Amino acid sequence: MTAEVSHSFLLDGAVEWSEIATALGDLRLEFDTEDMSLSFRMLDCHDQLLRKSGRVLLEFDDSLTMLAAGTPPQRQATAEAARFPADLPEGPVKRLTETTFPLRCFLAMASGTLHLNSLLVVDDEAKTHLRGEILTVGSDAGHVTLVTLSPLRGYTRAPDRLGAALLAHGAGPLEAEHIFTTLAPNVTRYVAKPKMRFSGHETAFDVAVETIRNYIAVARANEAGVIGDLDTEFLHDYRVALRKVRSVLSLFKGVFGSVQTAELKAAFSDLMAPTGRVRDLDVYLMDRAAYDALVPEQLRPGLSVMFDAFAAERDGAQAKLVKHLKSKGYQKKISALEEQFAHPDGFVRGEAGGLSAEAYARKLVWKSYRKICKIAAHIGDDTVDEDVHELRIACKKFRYLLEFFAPLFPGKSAKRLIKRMKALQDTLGVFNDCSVQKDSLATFMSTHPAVTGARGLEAAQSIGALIAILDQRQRAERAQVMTYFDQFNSAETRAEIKALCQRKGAAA
Amino acid sequence: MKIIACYSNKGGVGKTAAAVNLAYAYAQSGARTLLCDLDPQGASSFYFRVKPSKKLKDTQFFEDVDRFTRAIRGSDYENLDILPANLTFRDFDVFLSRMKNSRSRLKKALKAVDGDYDVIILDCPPNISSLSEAVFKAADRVVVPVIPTTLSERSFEQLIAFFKESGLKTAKLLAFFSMVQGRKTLHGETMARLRDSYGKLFLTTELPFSTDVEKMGVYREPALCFAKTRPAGRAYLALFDEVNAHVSGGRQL
Repeated sequence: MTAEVSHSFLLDGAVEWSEIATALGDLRLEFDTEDMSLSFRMLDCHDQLLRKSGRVLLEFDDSLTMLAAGTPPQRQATAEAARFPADLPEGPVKRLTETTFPLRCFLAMASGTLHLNSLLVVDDEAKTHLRGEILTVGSDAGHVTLVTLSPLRGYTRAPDRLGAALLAHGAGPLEAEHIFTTLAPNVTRYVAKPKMRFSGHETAFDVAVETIRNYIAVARANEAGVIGDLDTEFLHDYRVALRKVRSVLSLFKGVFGSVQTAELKAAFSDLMAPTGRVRDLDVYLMDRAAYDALVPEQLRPGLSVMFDAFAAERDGAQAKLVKHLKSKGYQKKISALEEQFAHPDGFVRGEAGGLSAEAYARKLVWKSYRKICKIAAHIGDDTVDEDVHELRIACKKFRYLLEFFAPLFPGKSAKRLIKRMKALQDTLGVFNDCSVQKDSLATFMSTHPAVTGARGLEAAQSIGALIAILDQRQRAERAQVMTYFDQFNSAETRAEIKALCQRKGAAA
Repeated sequence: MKIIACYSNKGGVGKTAAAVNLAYAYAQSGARTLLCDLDPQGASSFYFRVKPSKKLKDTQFFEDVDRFTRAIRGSDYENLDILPANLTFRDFDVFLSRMKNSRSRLKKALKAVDGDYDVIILDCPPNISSLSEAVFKAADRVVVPVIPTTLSERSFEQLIAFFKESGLKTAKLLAFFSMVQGRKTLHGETMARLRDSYGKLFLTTELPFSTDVEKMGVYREPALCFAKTRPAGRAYLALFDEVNAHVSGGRQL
């Protein structure tokens, strides 16, 4: 059996094995005579979560190989036309990717030719002491050699000597980042929430421009994925990025001139409008199993009338969205906005634009927090749902402000507050989802042509049941809101926000 | 974990060859297997090209479980490890009692190193007079090769007698005819007589006299590696199937 310790080495380019063999002394290095030349793809998702976690996933010879420093390579079969982790046959790669990015599809980050060879280190009696695998991976951009040694139990001389020889020839540990930058130097890192760095000397205008510029870039980085309809998260990230831009425009009051603000708001609102329906339908279709689980089994066929209608509608909506994103009009608009934020001197600034970003941030966060408290103070068991919605929106604004200004606040204080709000926001989120879904299901039921005839009646019964369940759930969440609010708004939180916002005599 | 002892109170009967091929067959079937070379004359480790460890001659050996587990060597075959030991009788005794005790440090150490073994095969030294009952007590089954000659017949009868005197279960014994030469009338007659007297103790498989078994020393590989489809190879596979059927729950003891 092989020992559990595995040794992985990474080398740039090819390896001079004849030189390494001399370092083995009385042991002999042998190679498998068959050198397999195969085409390969290096896979990851759009967020490059494998790269970020120090892993490299290679697809070759109908199998997947996951490499990471300090662990033996993990192998499993691939499936033809497997686009998502869920499409893979059972195995370690499926398990890992399905938990890491269940909704994302695999993308080829690099491709090219790979040579697979195996080595043996044997003694004078031809007893094997060590096995090894050599992967020479080459794309258009560069080559790396990956050597994995699997010593046999009880034999330490061979791995020690070969390992030392490899290190002496410039081998390093298996670094995913190094492999990525060598094989795919043009693939830029994608971050859905760009981290911004501020020195504290910026104006409110600077922070707004920088934040918007970053989020326009995020939106643009998702365009190709939306057009290719690769997975649902491209559109989701695209929309979130644009929503953040719009939030900056509405929350950073007085940073741009009022006409300028209105123009920008309208421009970004126009960009986002054609994306809404596809996203709504995506959410329904993704949650299909969850919806089915909510109703008794006999009501499920009724729901499928609705889901089939949604699926058909999505095809049309997606085609329309693609047309929009490819259109000259869209390209011109977004490029112009990109250009404007790259050269922000042309903007008309508002009265708050020149304020110190830090003082401005403290003022806005404090005001936003006071507003939350004011709304919450009026919420009781018999308050109308509209007030709860108002609280949800105020909380969301508060969170966005904390996110935007996080780099200006000391340490991780903003992040800590966001974390403390999570349970409250989750509850408010479910409350809102239920409410939105109830409305749209009701609209579907009363207006959609699929809800006619005998099947339509069946569908209406199922949807009616679903609406009733969603209503109960919404009420359950509603009942929790104040408990979570009090949990969030503890004495500690209050003190922390106060300390955060009232430093250096900030406005209260 | 199952323990299978390969034992014969007479030398040169094909005991080590059986241990080596059984271990190989178990490993090939997917069982994590440890072959313990306990017979200084048998040299099952020789067949796997594993050199005897100098450390094993250390008298302190069994007082340090770590050193025992460190002496284990991976063979060139998947799932098969070798303990290339030249153990003294005293060591052997201690070895078995520790192996059988589920809470022993030895077992814990084996577990820690390689997730434990499914099967441990012992290539035992051929000495009944000084052999501890512990071997027979510890093993789940004792595989005994018997050459169908009068001399071997007597040795086998001595073994049965020893079992009965010591209050051991003879049903643990899995005897098989080894080095069988079909054309020899004596072989045929002896086998018929023994099957008649000890029917239940004898496996159906008969290992033929074969140069392939001798060639193991030249190729330094189990016969199952290079002669799988020839008579000796087929017989070892059949032996494995029979032994395994007994070990994994066949005959109740």
